[in-house]
Order: sequence, then C-alpha cells, then structure tokens
Amino acid sequence: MPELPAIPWEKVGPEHRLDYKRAFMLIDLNRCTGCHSCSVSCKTEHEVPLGDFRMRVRYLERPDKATLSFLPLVCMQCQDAPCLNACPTEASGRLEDGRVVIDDEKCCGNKACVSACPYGAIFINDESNKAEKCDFCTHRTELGLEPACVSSCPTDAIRFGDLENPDDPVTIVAKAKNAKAFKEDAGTEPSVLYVDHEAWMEPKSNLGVQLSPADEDVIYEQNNLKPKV
Amino acid sequence: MSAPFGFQIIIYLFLAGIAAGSAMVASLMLHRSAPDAFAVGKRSLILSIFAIGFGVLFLVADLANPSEFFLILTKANPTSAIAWGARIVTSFSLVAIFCWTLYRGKSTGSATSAEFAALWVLRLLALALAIYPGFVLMQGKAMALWNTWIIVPLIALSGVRAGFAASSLLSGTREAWSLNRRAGEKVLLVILGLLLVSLLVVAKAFSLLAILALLTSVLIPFALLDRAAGALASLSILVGSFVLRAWLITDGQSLFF
Repeated sequence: MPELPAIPWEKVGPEHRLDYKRAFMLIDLNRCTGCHSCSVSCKTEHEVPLGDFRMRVRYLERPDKATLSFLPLVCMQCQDAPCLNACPTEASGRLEDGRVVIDDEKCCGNKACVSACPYGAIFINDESNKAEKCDFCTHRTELGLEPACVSSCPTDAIRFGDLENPDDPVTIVAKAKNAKAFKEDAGTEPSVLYVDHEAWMEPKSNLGVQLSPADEDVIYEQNNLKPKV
Repeated sequence: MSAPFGFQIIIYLFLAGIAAGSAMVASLMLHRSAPDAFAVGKRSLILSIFAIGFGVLFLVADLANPSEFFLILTKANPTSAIAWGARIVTSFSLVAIFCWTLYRGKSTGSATSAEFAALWVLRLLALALAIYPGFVLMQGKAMALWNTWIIVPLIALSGVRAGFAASSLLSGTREAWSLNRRAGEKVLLVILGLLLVSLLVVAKAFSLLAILALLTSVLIPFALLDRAAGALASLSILVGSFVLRAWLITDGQSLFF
C-alpha cells in the first residue's frame, strides 16, 4: 500500500513553531472574492462575540466606475504602533517577531488603543471588557500552524511569512507584486501588505458594507446602500 | 464598531477644565489679604476639589473595567498621555486638598513660604491638568479632528476659561467679575481662532454642534462680557465649554467610527 502524504496536523507542536524575524501578512486583493471565510474562521478560532471582528472584510464600491472590491482588514501589527504608545498600562506589548499583542491581565479597558488605531482594528470585547485585536494567531503559529484566516482562505489571498527573510516565498511574492501597506501616510510601518490596493479604498475603508451578525439582515454601513425594506 | 469615548468623557473633560481654571483662580486669590479676594479663592478651591472629584468618577465609569482602574496608576507607560494624566489628576487632587487644609480656618489671605510654595505647585498642576487632555485626544490617530496640535490649546484654554467663569459665578463678587473680565476677551479671541482653524483643517467636522460651540463658547460671551451681563456671559462660557467638548468627542469620532 503506498504511503499517504503527511497531513498538516501531524506537524503540530512547539518544535514546529514558525520562528520569524518579522511576521507579516500578505493580502492579495486580486484573489479575494469576499467570501468571509477568513472572518468566520477568525471568529470561530477566537470566539469573538457577535458584532465584533478581529478580521473584517469590507465591500467597497469604486466611486468612478461600477466595481466592487473586497478588502480584508486586520490589525496591521505596526512597527511604530500608535496603540502601544497610547496604552497607559503597558497592556499592549510587542513580541520578538514584531507582532503587537494585548495582555488581558494588564488591560483595564480605557480604550486609548481603540481611539489610537488608524485602522479601527481594536475593539472592546463586550464579554471580557478587555481590548482585543488580531495577533496573527500566536497560539497557532507557535505550534507551527498558520493563522486561521490564512488556513481557511480558499483562494490563497491571505498568506503569512517572514518579511526579513528574503528567501521566504511570501516575501518574494510581496516584492515581485510590489505589495504596499494600507494608509502608508499614517507612518506606522504596518506588517500587513496588500497587493493591488488602490488609493480610493483608503478613505472608504471604515464605511464599506459588512455582514454583521449583530443584525438579522445585512447591515449597510454605507449611506448610499441603505437596504430596501 | 462603536465609538470608544462616550458622554462620560465629555463630562470629565468639562469638569477637569473647571477644576483647572478654578484652581488657578484659587492660587491667584488665596494669598491676597482683601477678604473679598480671599473668599473668591476659598470658594474656587472648593469648587476645584469637587469638580475633579466628580470628574474622576465619570472617568472611571467610562472604563470598560472600572474595577481595574488602579492599573492606570500601578503600570506606567511613559509614552501614554493617559498614564501621565492619571498622575497629574492624582497629584492635583492631593495638592488641592492640602491647600484646603492650609487655608480652611482662615478668613484673610496669607502666604508663608510653605503656603506660597503650595499655591505655586497647585497652579502648575492646574496648568498640567488643563493641558494633558489635549494630548490624550491627540494620541487618537484615527480621529482627524483630534490628531492635530490645535486640540491642545483649544481644550486647555476653553477649560481654564470655563473654570474662571464658574469661579466668578460661584463667588458673585466684584473681585471675581473683574478677574473674569480681565481673563476674558483675549482668551475668547484665541479660542475663536483655534476653533476656526480646526474647522478649516477638518471641514467635515462642520456641524450643528460646531455652530453651537462657536456661539456659546465665544460669540455670545464676547458680546456680553463688557456689559452688565457678566453672569450671563459666564453661564454661556460654561455651556460653551461643554458643547465644545461634546462636539470634539462626538463629531471627532463620528468621522471615523
């Protein structure tokens, strides 16, 4: 009987941890179909309460022609993170690989980080009353697994790699496709890079249409897309 | 996503401004020998203590985890304006209470070297109390209306101005009105300038609240200050200080969240 190929979970364990110098995420907007696999798997993985998201997918309408784009948004793991500077209790900290994480024990819910984040990536968890955000699934990567959103993306639109390793295949793709950070003007040096993101998306990123389980129907946050009752 | 800061923060910013301004009035008046001036100083000091006390209650109530408010004092991030603010508020409250114990039994002003030093420390802490909230808002990088240097003098000046107005309303003496008038016009003009620049920089923030803030915090008081309607002017300044903060917090966040 031929030997079966190894299935991914056979390689799970601390010895397989993804040791990166600078963990980063590459999101290819050309590949994203807006299926919400990433945000659903993220919610499941982290038991994110209804109405809140660590990973969101915005639907954006291009202003000058009939084009709908999908924009997955997560914490950008900024190298110059405004949330880190604003947090008075040092609950926001940085891991060796550059990821920004929040220590629940130190968080008193003062919301300084929520207002400091130019990407709207941090929220207060209504159940724990602590600040929460994406951390590139630290609990998974330290066992050698990719973040949940990366694993679940059916089109490989989201990939995870080491930005300081020039031989990393994801880094090679990022360079070849001239991937850029979102809202570069904010000067926060994000560790999430986008392929083919365009300037018109940036001011709309907080207004895009989003599926929200806080309501039975689709919530249209964009003024010109009010649902017809 | 909901906006992080709510009405508690608006009330806190309002009360902190009053506390800072009235403490400044107290520090200017408490060493004066004229009974009228001293009485203004004493009342202002009491007002200041109550304002910061109630303000802190609202501040703690705004936390998602109010029972863990002590973390802000036990952990210190030097780059966080809130961390600095927590220490300023604590020091200010303690020094204000200390000053009250110094002057509690007196009916005329005095300034021994200890009292003089205490009043100076109170004045400096009042200044810090007036200024730091602007830096807290400025760290809100997401909010275009906050993430600018204009917010610091705007919050500080309008707060201190409201404190002077509240002190004069509470005291009602000629001394208080005179101080209120002297502190008045130029500061109002500066606030007007800062408000207009804010609106120029962030045109989207032009709203009904912005118009109300302009009217009540600057234009109405400016029209009334030189006439015999000092109390009305002061009342308008107080209302204006509140509306200004309501505008900054509400519209500042609604542009993003």
